[in-house]
Amino acid sequence: MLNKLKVLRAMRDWSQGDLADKLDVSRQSVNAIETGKYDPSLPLAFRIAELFDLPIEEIFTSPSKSSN
Amino acid sequence: MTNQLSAGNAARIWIGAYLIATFGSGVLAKTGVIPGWPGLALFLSSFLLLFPLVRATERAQDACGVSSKALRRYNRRVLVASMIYVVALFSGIGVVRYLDPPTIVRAILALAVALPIIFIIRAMALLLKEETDEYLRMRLVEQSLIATGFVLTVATLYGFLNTFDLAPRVDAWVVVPLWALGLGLGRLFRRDPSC
Repeated sequence: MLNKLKVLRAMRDWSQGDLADKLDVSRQSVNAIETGKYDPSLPLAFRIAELFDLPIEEIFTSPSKSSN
Repeated sequence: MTNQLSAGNAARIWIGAYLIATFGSGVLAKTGVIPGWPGLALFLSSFLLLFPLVRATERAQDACGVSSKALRRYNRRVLVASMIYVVALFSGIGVVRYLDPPTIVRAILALAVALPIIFIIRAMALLLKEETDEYLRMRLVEQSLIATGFVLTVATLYGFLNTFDLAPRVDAWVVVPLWALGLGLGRLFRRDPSC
């Protein structure tokens, strides 16, 4: 699943470690989500959206839309 | 990146040192190059290398961003259980070999040696239960499935070699180190290229 996590993180000048601390996950988790290797669960996706104060669909692109 | 590499290399060096020390001292004791108690003491003391090995592994996990509280608890539990296992195993072997105890004592000794291994299996289960990082937990589940598939495959192949009298019988407890080997293979296949 495509996402804008890396861009949003860079806009706030946060490192992967900073974001991992704020989300209470490992740095590898942030890296895996950013690179599209891992799709977060719905609760984690909500935590990410709340942290950036954005709707989920503005951070994550629906797989059906990204394939079009 | 330099820290990641150096921490990873330090962990690999400790793993190599531990394997060389354990197998080396074991061979020296078994072949009689260092006979009797001194050989056994050298072999047993090689297991103390597990302490710096675990510390180096935790530093590598930190550098790689895969560390967690649950993983640290797991490392401690396995380290303690491994030490108890080594003491129980060699005490048990010594008692059986030199005192020829009755059946009930042998049964108790077998249980005493098995208990720390059962504790390690419990530690693995607790790690899966206590890990709050969903990505790390998913990787752990994947690695465990690879390990389980590896054990089942090897056990099935070896079992049929046994059935047709083509291979010597082995003790059933070998499935645990075999599963651990499978877990190592799983980590190798599912490792993060940046670590």
